[in-house]
Amino acid sequence: MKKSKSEKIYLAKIFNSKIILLTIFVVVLSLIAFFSSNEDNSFWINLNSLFVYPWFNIIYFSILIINAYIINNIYENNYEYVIRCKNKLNLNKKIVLNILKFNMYFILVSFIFIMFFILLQSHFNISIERYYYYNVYINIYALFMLFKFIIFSLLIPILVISIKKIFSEKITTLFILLMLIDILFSKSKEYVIASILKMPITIGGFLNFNQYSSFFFEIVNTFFFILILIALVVVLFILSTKYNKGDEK
Amino acid sequence: MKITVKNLSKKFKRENVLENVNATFESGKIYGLVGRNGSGKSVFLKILCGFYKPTDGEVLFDDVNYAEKNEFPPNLRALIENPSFLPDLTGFENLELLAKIQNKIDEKQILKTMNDLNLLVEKDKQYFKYSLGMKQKLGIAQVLMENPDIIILDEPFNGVEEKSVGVIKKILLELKKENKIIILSSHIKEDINELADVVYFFDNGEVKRKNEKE
Repeated sequence: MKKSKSEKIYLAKIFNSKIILLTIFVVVLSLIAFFSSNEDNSFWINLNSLFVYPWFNIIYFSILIINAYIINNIYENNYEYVIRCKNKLNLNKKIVLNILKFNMYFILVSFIFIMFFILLQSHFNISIERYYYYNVYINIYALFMLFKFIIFSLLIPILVISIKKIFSEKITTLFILLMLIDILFSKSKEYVIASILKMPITIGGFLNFNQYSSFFFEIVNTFFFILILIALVVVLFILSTKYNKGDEK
Repeated sequence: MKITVKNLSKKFKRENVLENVNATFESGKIYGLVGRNGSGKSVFLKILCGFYKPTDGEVLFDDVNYAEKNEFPPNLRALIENPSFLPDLTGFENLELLAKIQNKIDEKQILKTMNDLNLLVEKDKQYFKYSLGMKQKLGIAQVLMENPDIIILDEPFNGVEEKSVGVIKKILLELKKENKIIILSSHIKEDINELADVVYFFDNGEVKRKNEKE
């Protein structure tokens, strides 16, 4: 009997049970994308604007966090499954991998629809211009933004689940609320970011529209921010295996 | 094989669910945990399984403290609360999925266990179509199919019809002869008195060892 087949069935079953939820969220996000887009703008400009639209980000990250919570609970409450995992590290690895897989499915499916709706609102105008602030084509910049957005989308739910395992439910809820408030209310920097010391330090600040001294400098800043985020996720993941207080909620 | 529970306490926020519990479980015996609902039996079993960490004290499996190593005790299988089977899969497919996690047994062993518990006729029926008793028996099947050394069953006879209760009891007595540690919990004293060599009574977080059969 092959192990991978078993995992595939589990994934398929969890996926099937969440298909209605997924459909509702994809429709909501597509509508936000459609109505927040400007029909006078090209597809690429509208796509770029969507990544810095706070309400889109709030709903989008909330969905990914809810999805992560559901998957984590499915595994943690399945005692028959848990007892067959050798240790908590193995169990947590499986949970994290499945959160990544499911959120990746969600991201791919939702972006196919979101892009279609933006394309529709933009009257299929895919003209490629120079980006306002850098000497770079706007489609290149949009792809960079998409990449940055996907990395954030994958890391943040894992960060939240690790916090949930280490600390109490209250602290996790507080963290989520602060993060969402930060996304909603943090303002774009009014100055051009030319120094690493001036880069945004919060997730909301980073998801905002900011102007850097060059495209290359924005890539470097993003790279460092993601690196810090990955390090934080890894440290919290290790701690969550050692100090899991999930049963004390 | 011996399980030693030393000065075990468990708190949830400010509530003491278990206080300074001491107990031992040895091979070739059936142990019964008796107490009203909410007396801490399930929490105690979850600590034995490694799902919960004790607030104080320790659980040693032949002197090994698995909780400290963040590991689950090997060769221990348990039925705790309602089994989380996948409703669209058949009874057999559900057991097959669990068996594939460690790949210790083949299809034959799964079918044999289902046969022992009179589930073979229903093996291709989807889980959501199972009756409460059948669901419980499938839960017991997942515990027994991999031939574990330690068997933990929380309220195993819930919803099971009388004929099947007899079958399960017979199987447990057979397993006792094979030198297994069997720990059962129930709020029905009669079931426990019939099977158990040693009974632990749970009341308000305290645990008392009551009797031992000769």
